[in-house]
Amino acid sequence: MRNLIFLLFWSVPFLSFSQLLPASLNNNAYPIEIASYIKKDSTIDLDKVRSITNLLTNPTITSFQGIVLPKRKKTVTEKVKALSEDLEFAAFRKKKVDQQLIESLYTLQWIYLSYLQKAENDAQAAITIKEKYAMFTNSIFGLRKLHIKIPKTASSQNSTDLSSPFFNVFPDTIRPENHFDFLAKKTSTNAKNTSIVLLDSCSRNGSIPKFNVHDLVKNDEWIIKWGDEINTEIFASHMFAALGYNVDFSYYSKNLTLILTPNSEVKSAKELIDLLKSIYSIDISRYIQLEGIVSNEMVLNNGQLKPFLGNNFVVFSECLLEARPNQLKRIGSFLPLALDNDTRIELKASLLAHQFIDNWDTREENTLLALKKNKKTVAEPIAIFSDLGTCMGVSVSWLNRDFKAGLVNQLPWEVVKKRNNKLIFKGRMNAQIDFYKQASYSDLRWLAVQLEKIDSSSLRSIVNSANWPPELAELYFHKMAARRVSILKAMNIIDSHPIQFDRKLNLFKNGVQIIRRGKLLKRTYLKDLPVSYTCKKGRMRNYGNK
Amino acid sequence: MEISKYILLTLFFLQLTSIHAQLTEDQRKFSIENNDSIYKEIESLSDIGDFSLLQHSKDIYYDIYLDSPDFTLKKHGFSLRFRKRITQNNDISYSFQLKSEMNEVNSIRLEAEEDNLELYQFIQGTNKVSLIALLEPLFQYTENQVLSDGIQLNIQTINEWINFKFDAPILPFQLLKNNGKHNFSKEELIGLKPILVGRSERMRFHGVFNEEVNDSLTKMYGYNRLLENELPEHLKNKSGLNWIFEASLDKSTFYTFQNKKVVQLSELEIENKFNQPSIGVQLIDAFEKQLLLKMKLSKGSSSKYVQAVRVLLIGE
Repeated sequence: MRNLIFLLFWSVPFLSFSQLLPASLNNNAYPIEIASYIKKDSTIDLDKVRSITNLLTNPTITSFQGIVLPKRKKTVTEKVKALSEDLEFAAFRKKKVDQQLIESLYTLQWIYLSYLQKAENDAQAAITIKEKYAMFTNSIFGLRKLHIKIPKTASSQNSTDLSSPFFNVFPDTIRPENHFDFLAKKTSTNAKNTSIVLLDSCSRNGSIPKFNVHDLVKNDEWIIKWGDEINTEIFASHMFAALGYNVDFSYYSKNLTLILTPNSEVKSAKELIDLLKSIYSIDISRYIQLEGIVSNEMVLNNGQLKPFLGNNFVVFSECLLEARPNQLKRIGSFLPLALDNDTRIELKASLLAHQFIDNWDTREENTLLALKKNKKTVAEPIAIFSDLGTCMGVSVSWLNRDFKAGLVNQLPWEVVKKRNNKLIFKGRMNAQIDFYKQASYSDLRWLAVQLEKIDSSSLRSIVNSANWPPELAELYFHKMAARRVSILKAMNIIDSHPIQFDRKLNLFKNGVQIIRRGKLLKRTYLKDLPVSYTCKKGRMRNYGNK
Repeated sequence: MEISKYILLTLFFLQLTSIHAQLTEDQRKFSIENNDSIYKEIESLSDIGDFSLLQHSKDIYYDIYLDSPDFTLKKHGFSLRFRKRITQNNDISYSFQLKSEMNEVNSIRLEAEEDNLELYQFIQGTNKVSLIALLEPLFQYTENQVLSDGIQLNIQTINEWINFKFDAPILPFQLLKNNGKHNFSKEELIGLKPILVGRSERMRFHGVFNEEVNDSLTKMYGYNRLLENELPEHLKNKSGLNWIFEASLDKSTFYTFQNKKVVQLSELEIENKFNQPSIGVQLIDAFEKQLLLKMKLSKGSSSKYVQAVRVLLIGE
């Protein structure tokens, strides 16, 4: 019997039914965006469906309304063709739309709109003045709007399970801190054997230096990043996964070897440093531990290096490795404001998760629609919270648009305060304030119930995954425990796993005080690291190392 | 060749290589005239000059070629086929492929493939039927050449399927309508239907040179820098072998549906696999020189479809 339960558990890991359409849509209802694909007689309008299926699959269509279309991915075209065939066959038979056809149309339109969003985003070389202004006003004035009213008759402990492309309901047997590895395993992502990578190309988006690489053995694609988000992004991804959300798979890497080939965009360490400096104005030389040429001795130790004998290589003291697994193909934004997604409880409730980790950059671009596939299943859409690294204490300078994440002293000890009949949030966000304003007290309370499940051991494990220096990790542990309590208290949730914390934490290393009364001190040994954890000079000022 | 024609063809292939970069292959073909003896000689070959041919598989292919009654695809240098492949391990797969003819400018061919034919279904009479079920009796025609009523009905249904699907997101149809050479209209292809079916035995080889025996070529041209998982299974963990090309030796028999004519064709095909294609071309030139010295082969450019139609004198 025990074996049977074990088998059932592993063969059906998600016991809850995953609902594709928002719960607000039922009885064959559909969002306005797909109405144009359904004729008056309730059959499929095949010409209109084909106009988008061809755009999504035809390699000879290279632009749309003057915008260059991104490269099409095989998994995406396969999925579109599978959806298309359902719709084509129904149209041929003049079948009236039913729930299954509505789901096919919904998925198709989601992929289409996300693909166009990605095309528009790629076409936009830099952030516009209008967007900068919006980010500024949202960060400064947005919080005035983030007051959530508490209803007079607030419901008691709420445990609704909402399994959807946005949210995973895990069995209780999988502890929150293991959600991240569980999800990663589903896409065969594992950074443990990734110690040598080959350089592909430099990524030119975002504000932190990064490169596209692939693993020497498995040929998996990765992105390597340096800077102030190395630790914060890993922590944030683990925390969001622990709460139930889908995330990027980011790992801390020490002593990663990067091989530069004759086909690489850069061929030496100097060219690499110069290129990243020219794009991001950031000097990554402090991360370079060793550089050299692949020698016979190295080939003898690792035969897979043989084709690269005589090529330059660089070893980095630390960096972040972000997976681009073959089983997970990225499209564009998951479109929080389209296709009735804004009615999803689990999406509105993510406000609480962003506030918990103090995430500043909550723009639409940092959401992601992807198709997840393994060898046995048809690809299914999943919504991912991506690029969560601008968190855990953020400093924003409005004089020169400089900002920096991972400043522990900037992270407040509380997330939210209850005043009269309102919840007042303290974290700043640069976007989507109006959307999150729609979150109700009960939406947030639903996620707070998930947060309550994170006990001391889970929190310790999630903090440790980020690989902060030990003293810093300890301070973050105490702060996050305090922040968790502030949420549970504000929403009257009984804490069945209380976590001890000390707001006046003092820590010493080799007789030198590192943390005094809950504050990381300047001029500690940490100042020798590539990124300062106390100096507010951010990515525009080389993290205080200029 | 007139210079203007040469420029036009060059421009066409430049367009093909930019828009359809992922849809092309770099090939050479050699016809085997005196069928059996040379075929057997190549079959048993292992070394040619500095190169070795490592045989790794023997597959069976069935191909149904489609064209309009006036052979409009052939006239414009294209072939369209449904393919069934049976590997030596008995794995079966199906695909729908569009190919352009090779020409005198270079050896690049357009190849567009739809490989998930299990997706497609249609209505025959009042019955729901899968595309593969429609194709199977036509593949079987190679065994007994009996044109049954069932096969004739399937040929008609495949024509109806094509007419319904011509604007659907199916790669060969998308490329027929926009390929930079001749963009076909639906009207031109309204009568598209199966006209030929062939059965081929294909022996496949990895073309390599062994740098442990002779390292002069490696010194001159370098190593094909491929990752372990980009290498074919048989070449993994064999660090001394430098992979240059894939070769396939085909022995095919084609049958028409309209009469009982049969033609047999044999050919050797070579496809560049070097990660820097220009170096691969130089190495294949060297291989070709030694191959032609050793054997009576003639360099060819016509596809098996064109050769078969020519011999069977249909559509001429």
